[in-house]
Amino acid sequence: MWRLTPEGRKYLTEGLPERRLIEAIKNRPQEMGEAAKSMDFPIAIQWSKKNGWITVSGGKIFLTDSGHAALRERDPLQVAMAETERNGSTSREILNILLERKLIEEQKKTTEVSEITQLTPEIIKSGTWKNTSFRQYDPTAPAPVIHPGKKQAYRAFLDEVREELVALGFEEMTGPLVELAFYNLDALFVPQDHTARGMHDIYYVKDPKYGGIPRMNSSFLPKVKAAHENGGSTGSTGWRVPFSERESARLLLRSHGTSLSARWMMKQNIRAPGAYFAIARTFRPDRMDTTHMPEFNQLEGIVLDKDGNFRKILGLLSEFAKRIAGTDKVKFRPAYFPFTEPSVQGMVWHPGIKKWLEMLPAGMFRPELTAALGMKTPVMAWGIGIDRLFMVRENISDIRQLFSQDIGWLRNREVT
Amino acid sequence: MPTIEVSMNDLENLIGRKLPRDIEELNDVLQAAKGEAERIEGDRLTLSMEDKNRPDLWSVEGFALEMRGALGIGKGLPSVQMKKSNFTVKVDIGLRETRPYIAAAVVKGIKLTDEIIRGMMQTQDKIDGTYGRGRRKSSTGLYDSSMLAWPLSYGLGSPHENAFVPLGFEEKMTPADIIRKHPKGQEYGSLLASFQKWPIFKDSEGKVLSLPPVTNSADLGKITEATTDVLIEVTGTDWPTVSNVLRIMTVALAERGGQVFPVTIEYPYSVGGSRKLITPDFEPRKVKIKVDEINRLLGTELSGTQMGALLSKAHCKTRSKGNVLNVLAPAWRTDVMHWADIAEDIAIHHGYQKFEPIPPALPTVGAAAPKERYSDRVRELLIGLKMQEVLNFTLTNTNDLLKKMSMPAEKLIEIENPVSSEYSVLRNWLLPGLLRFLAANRIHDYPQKVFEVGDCVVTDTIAAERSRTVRKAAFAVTHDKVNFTEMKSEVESILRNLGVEWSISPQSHPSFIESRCGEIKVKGRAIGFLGEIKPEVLANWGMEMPVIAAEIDLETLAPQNAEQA
Repeated sequence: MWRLTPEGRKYLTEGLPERRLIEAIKNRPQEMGEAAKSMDFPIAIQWSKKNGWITVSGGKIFLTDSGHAALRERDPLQVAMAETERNGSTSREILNILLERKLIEEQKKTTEVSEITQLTPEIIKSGTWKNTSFRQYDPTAPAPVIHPGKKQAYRAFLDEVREELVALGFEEMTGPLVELAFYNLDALFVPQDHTARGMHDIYYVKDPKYGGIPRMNSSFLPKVKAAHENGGSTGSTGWRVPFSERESARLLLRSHGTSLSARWMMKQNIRAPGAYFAIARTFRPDRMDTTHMPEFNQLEGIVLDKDGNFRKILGLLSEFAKRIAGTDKVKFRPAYFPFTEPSVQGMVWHPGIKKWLEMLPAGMFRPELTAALGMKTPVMAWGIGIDRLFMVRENISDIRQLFSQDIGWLRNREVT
Repeated sequence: MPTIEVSMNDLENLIGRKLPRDIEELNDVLQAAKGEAERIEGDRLTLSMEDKNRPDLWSVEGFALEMRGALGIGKGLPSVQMKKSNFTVKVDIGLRETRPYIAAAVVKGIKLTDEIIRGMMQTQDKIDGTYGRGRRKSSTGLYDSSMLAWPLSYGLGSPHENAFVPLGFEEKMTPADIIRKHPKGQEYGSLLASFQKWPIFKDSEGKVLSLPPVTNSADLGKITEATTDVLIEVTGTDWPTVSNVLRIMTVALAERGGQVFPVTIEYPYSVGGSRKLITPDFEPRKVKIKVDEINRLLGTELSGTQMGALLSKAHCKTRSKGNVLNVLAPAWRTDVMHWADIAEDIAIHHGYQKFEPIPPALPTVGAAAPKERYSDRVRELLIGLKMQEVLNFTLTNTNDLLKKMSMPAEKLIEIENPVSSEYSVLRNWLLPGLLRFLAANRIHDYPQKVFEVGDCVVTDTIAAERSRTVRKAAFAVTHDKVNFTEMKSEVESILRNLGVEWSISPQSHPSFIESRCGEIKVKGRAIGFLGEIKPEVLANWGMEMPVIAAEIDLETLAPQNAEQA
């Protein structure tokens, strides 16, 4: 806060000296001696010259063109002093000039404040608030809208899902988006001539087309090959489809989170009891519409349990329905997946649309699969389309909303 | 999964029981054969077949047979009565290298209706497409057997001889013409293109029946409502598939009341250890199961007798021997690879709804992945800086990643079979996605502060995947008074809170204004950059508001988290 010095206040009423000087010589030049009689002459002559308003020639003071121009306008310093008197401040540049000329000073004491607008530390310290009233505010007046920083609505849901799984005792798996066919398909006992490996179901990498099976997992390759061709050691017939090791190295974009389960089962120290999950971004060649996206999220997981059985899978699915979909109404149907047997589809009742929805696909990993990967115990597995679950829960009809490009929607979405 | 359209009345007649018209109730019934009613319009039922490994269910006849067992109307191993016959097909030796296998059967005395014919065509199409792998492993042909002069020959011919009138056309065409002009020729010609001589199926008078696996003759290779005797022929490159498709098609027609006559195939080479085969063969598949193993897998306490009764509904015959159950499954059940497959049949006919779920009681300790925990910490800090989190695709395009960002050409992970050019490469940095987002939100209030923490994929010639998935964080701020210092303060506040020591040095980056860009280094390694976006780049995105932005590689920042399997 600023206020006028006594000198400033004097000039505010009388006018600045240089201003009075040019007013005086407005119509005719003046003798120096004559002008010097006025009280503030040194100041007047100094600032008039500095402003380029006057010239002195032969003992006479003449008004210049800029002097004439200045006379046609209100003096900016005068205006600024008036503003300071009124508001306690003015524009930064002029404030500096006024300070330099000692026409204003900082208002240190608030003794003169008659009404408090902004409560300041000075007011509190000095105690002036005791004798002053506060300016009245209108609490109903509109305030500007501000937006907090917050989680993306769908990410927030995925965070919740992660918390639920961790609370149940699951450890999280992560892995690469660009995947080898070995982990995404072969190790999962999907035969190499299966239609689900075609260009309509999987995104393949253009260049390079092939990677390499990491040495640490290469010992699994012959076992996987045997499982496909003749069932390996399991007594199964296998697919009886020739297995190409080259094809195992084909690079693709993972088409399900199950590739992570395959990777995990090949880990050195993995054994029962073990429970693992992943929230995996996965890819499929789908054209974008209200129900399809080229990439989506899957809640994938496995449980290694020496007593693992079909009823325990149903128990897991019921628990997921309760914790993630928020419903107790679940029913189970036979299903088919190339890597599980028995397989099951968990149907969840949606009260809004009054329909059973296929939400929870699961099963026991096939013995050909687990034996090739060295698993000694049954492995229960599931891969849930978590995107759809969120849509159902939040009543969202267009799946693209999950990756919303609308800041308005994200900002205004309630935190639930 | 295969979808077939059937008549509800026909299905009910075949099963011998009325079915519910309510779709939910209907599905509760059909689930026993893994069928799912998608819609009912009048008498038309669209039925989706869940099991990709059970082509025997992809005909209304096969599906009805399965349902009869499940409902207890006709249980046990079905027996297909075969009459004596002297039908023969002679095979040319040259086929060994092109399309070696053929199997055939004649079904006589059927009363075909338009509905049945349509159904057969549909089934043939689904089986050839999926189970037959686009007609490579197997493809099926149906003929009016009364018009043929036996024995038939499965031989080879030049693409320029053996002209015949193909289905859907009126003039004679050579096989070479058919490949060029006939729609089926254009679709399946690639299966023949690499061979000098092509398969040709003829009768003893030299009349052409078909050009397998492309198309049949319009004269002989067509069945109509007037046809009573049908020849089913299957050719292909995989004997188990070929012989199984024949079984499936034969059983379907036998279900319609036809009498089955086998066909002798005379091979000049050995097929399954023999040169003379009589097809179809309905020798049941034998599987040995152990009662205790099944109970352990299912969590049940069923006796061998109970299992036998349940399997009878799956058309299996069982003989109990203590803990061992000898199972005979129908010959067409090629999906039975292991006893686990039989276990599922037991579970299905026991009824999934009868299984009491066992709630999980995991003895394990849960934990989020270190990488995710680290990402969450960064996300919290960014939210603390009043930023709105956004979620973008990892799939994008070079226009967004490079051109709009004024970046020079760069090797990216590109998709071989994109559905849309919009989503054809994997992003290698996050910032373009944030600019795209901001550009789409010009009508909303400023300031706009956004961030994303997500995966990018960068090329890596050494890695097994020839690439690395890298977790990054990026943020961007836009309003009319943004400046470099504001961004620097924000970046530094994050780094300080993450407990790292950093330095920022001048960097020249194509997307940022020269001298208003800094490289962020931690322990001498570059982990990111920050700066003010070039007006040229803003113009590329159609933006008029200045933007400051930063991107940090969290993987390098926290190398202890790079613990991919």
